Amino acid sequence: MEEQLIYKSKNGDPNAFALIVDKYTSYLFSVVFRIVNVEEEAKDIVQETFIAAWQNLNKYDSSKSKLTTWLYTIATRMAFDVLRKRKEQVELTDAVFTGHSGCVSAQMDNNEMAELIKSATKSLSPMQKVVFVLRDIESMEVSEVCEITGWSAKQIKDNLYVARKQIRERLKRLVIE
Amino acid sequence: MENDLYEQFVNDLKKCRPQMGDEKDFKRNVMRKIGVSSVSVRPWIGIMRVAASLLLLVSMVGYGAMEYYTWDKRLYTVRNQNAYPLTEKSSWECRQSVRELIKELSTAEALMLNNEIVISKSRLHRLQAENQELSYFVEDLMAYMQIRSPVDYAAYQSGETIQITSWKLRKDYGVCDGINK
Repeated sequence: MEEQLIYKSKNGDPNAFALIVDKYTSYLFSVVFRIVNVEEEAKDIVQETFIAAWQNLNKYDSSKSKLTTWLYTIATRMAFDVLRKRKEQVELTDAVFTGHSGCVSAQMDNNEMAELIKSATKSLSPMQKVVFVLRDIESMEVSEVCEITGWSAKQIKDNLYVARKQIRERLKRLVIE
Repeated sequence: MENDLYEQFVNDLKKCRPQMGDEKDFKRNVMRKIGVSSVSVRPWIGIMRVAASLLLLVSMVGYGAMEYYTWDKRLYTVRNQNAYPLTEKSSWECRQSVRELIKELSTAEALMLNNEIVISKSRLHRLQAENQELSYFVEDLMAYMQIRSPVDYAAYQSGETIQITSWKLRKDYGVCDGINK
């Protein structure tokens, strides 16, 4: 089914591509939002991802990677660039996080989630943040993260180690305060 | 405790999947942008269309030119083939000349048969004796006949008698060409 959609999309069928957009929008938005933590920026990135995918579909080889991996690759790299270029991040007060009682799970809206991630990952570098989101939140395999980011397994493991350590320290500090 | 906090934090984030508020509008917008960009993605399609149109135009112009050229050629050929235009054959001067010629021929007894002018080998022999000058002219006439009307000439050669009329002289034997030159 998906193979047919890809084949038709490659031949310029926008209706087939619309089905791909329909299927993967929420997945892509989820990943990108967790990385950039700003809804409008996340939407822009997802939109640009689909446009880039449409324009480069002929370069996509389904025998080499899954469509999701290919789309995640485009989206994640755009999100990573946004993080790197972002010079002034909104400094959130620790009070926002301390207000989080623990398990709020399903009741959390996008803003609360963004603030929670931002406050916990404030000190992380863009690379550490991307690795943390893909590996620990999205539960991707190291090999898949390697394919998406283009980084080595060692880079990923090292950065994840540092990210986890920093988040733990930050969480501990916030709870004590 | 650190691990508990970290795991709780990660689990909370996993459970809460970010939701796009206006997903339908977003998808519609994406497809609209793709519809616009798809034109720029494949500029060669536009180039191909223009090239095809130009090719078609050039072909049509070429066809028209060829038609005109061949028509011109055909007309030229037809004119050449019809080297003895009727206007010349039927010109007044020619008619007059042929009428004079018929009148002259009709004066020779050797060529007359039942008030009609005829030519045969034996009659031509008799004409040579009767009017040598006229016989030379008839010999010239035979040359015209040989070229323009081989059937009559073959009949003459086989000994048949050929009837001569002003019409035959003008139309069949092309005598006017010789007269008008």
